[in-house]
Amino acid sequence: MIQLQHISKVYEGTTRVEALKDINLEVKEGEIFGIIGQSGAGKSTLIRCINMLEAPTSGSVIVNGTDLTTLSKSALRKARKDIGMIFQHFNLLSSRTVYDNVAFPLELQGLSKSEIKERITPILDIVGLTERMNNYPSQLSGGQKQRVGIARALASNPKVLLCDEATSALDPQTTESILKLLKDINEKMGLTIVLITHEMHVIREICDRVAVIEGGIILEEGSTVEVFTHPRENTTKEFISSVVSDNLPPEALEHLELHDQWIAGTAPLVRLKFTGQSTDEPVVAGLVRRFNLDVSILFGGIDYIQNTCVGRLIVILNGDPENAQEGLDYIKTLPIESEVIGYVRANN
Amino acid sequence: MSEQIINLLITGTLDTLQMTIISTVMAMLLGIPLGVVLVVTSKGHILENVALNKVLGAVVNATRSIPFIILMVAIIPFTRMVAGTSIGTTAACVPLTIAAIPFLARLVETSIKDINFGVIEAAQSMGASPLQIIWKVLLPEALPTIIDNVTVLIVNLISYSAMAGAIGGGGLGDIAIRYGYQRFQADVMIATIIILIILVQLVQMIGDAWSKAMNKK
Repeated sequence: MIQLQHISKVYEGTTRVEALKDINLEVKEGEIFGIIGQSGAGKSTLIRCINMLEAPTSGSVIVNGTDLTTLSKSALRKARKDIGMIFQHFNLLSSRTVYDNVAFPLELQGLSKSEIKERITPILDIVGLTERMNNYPSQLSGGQKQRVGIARALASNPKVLLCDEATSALDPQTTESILKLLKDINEKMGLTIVLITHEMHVIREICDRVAVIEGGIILEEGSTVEVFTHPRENTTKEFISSVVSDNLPPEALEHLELHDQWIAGTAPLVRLKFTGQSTDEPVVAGLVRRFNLDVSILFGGIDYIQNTCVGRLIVILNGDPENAQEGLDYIKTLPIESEVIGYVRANN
Repeated sequence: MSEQIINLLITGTLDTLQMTIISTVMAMLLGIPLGVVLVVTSKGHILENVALNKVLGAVVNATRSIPFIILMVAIIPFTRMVAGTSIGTTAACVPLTIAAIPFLARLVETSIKDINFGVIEAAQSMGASPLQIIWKVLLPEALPTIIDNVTVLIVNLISYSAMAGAIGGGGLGDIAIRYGYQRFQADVMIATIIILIILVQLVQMIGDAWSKAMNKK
């Protein structure tokens, strides 16, 4: 649906800024694709290249089979009608009511009043603003304003919806409801959604695939579950740790007297990771029963990422060192991931 | 006060109103578009044209830096060309309009620049043409402040029109100078001042109320 090929964006000025460096991305039809990065990473420039609000310095932007960078101004305006966009600060027209804001893109296309009404009525219903259609934006809450933004973007029946930090100005509860609305629209209307954010929970909540951007470069890209469970880059790991923590706090580690070597009187400290089906494995019970180990759980958590269950456990395998070694070998045979963090003072 | 003086004041008030209204309408017709052009041709805006923007900016600044009383005298040949005469109320409308256009253009420019650029980008993202952006975004969004701008302009024109008396323009200012100042008729002076204050108050009140009614922010 969207192909970005060798996109570069350079801002010439007193200091030359390379905002995007040879970006290649593909967004498939009907998916929700997330781009995450810190401020200044280039994500905003990138999403604005998709509808050519920013023209890339070089590269092609192919949306729905058309290379937007080759179009004339008027052809580009036509092409933009297939690409809806919503914004962090909503960007509604303060002089128009909710209804007239949603009608705006259709007015631009020259539709008649009755055609506009026919189109808008069901959309206002989808976003739940039918009762507020005669209000002005100043009379609405942030979440309602974003719903108007979404309705306005949907009015011209776009194939793609671009979300520029759409939930960053909203409180957590409202964010949740807006994300749910986006997901609904994606599922019911088959709309392809590209969103940028600096919040990992937004990605976890609704994105099928994610790309991590830093310094104008895509660091890594993959399905949300894959990136969450097997992040390669440190930046990605930092983002993930903001929503899914699987590290013990430093104070706890200090208290445990962590060693690199398995010396006498210590027991292995192990991190276990379960994904999907493997969460059903009775690992802890197995270790206790088969190897006579006292398994102390220091940390545990289960998350659902895109309907896939991801579990994490940090345990100490207390007991006879030989049994503990056998326990470690046993874990390796299971369809779960494990990592020996170190060795800590044994409890027995 | 004699009946003659009262008639004089009524004529003067009507003359002042005539000058103000004609030059306000002319200034709106030319000044608001000029203000829009000053914004949209500026760097990074929807119809960027830096050269045109610089030239227009320079012309606006030049006109605005001439004191009105001097402008009035300096353009007498032009006034005669346009109005057929350089004396009288109609003639006074020419310099008033010339002074009012750049004044209003600058005010409108500031009002439109105040609109969050994000709103313009939103319209662009929906495929709006520059003309559609001007008509459907910039002007409606700036309307309440443009009403304020015009109110300020009218108040200024009422005061400028008093100066038109100096070149035989008629109006309340003319009466105040000729009767109040040169003939020491203090009652006429006070009467013109009161009428001017009432006029300005009325304009300001109506302008404020209208702007408020239009403002949905």
